[in-house]
Amino acid sequence: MSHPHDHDHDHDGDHAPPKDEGAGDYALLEQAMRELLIEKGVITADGVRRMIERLDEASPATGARIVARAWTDPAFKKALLDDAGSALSAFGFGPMGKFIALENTPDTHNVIVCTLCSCYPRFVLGFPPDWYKSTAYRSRVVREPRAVLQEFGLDLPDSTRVVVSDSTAEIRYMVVPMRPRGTEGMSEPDLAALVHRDALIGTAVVAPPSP
Amino acid sequence: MPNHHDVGGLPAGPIDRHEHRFNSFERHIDALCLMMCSPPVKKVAVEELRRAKEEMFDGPFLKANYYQRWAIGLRAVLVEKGVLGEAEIDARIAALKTGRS
Repeated sequence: MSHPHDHDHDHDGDHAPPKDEGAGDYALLEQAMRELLIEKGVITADGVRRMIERLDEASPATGARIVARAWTDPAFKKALLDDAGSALSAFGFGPMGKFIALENTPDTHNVIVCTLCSCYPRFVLGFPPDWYKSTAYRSRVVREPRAVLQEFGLDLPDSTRVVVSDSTAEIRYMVVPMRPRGTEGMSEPDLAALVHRDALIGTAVVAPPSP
Repeated sequence: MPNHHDVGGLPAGPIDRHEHRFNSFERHIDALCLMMCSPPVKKVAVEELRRAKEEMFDGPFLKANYYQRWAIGLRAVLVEKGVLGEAEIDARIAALKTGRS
């Protein structure tokens, strides 16, 4: 059986080049189901195209804009922390199940995981990174979060409480990182540019702007 | 004993932080599953798809990767619910293979 997974990505030196571009058995299975569902009128080709566009457009840049807004607009921040699902209607999101924003403070650092599978706030953060779905991350981050965060290069002081939130299909989370020092007076877009994906997952913090 | 996918707290080795760009198959199967589970289509419940994927750790699909399991899981649920037939899926795959060769 061929492996479509291996075909279309950045190849390490030890990976063989792709043999049949994207036409693995699984890709054929997907295409067969898609065509049949379209022919039966269950879905439309246009609907598929729009869903793929929607997936492709979702990226951590959206989460970054949400965080920058929370940093600069106390009323929005309160609404976000009270009920992120409703607060995000301002960003054009419809109801997507229960969604909780977790605020990092000097005392508490949050990190998110889905131990059972790969639940992730995709329409706010885009596709989850491969490691988020890996057994190693899912197993270990709930047992030894500090060791895992250290592997990601994040050394937290012993005095910081680490809270791990385990996502499900019903409840998803994002982390609202701390606003770094030296960002007073920065515009919302400039602040958003500082915020990156791993800070929204909680495996990193937002660094102060480089001078 | 917890099910095989219930890995929270189990010992494991270092985290492989290599990331890859999503290919056409992965984006398509993701979109297809999402459409089938969401309004207005909603022919499949997220839980049904998850159960189908979780049942896959034994047997011939042990080596299937993340999105390959999605494809197999979606097929299983669609057949189970009578949305698509086994035979028509197999026939279409065969036709697509012929068309490509």
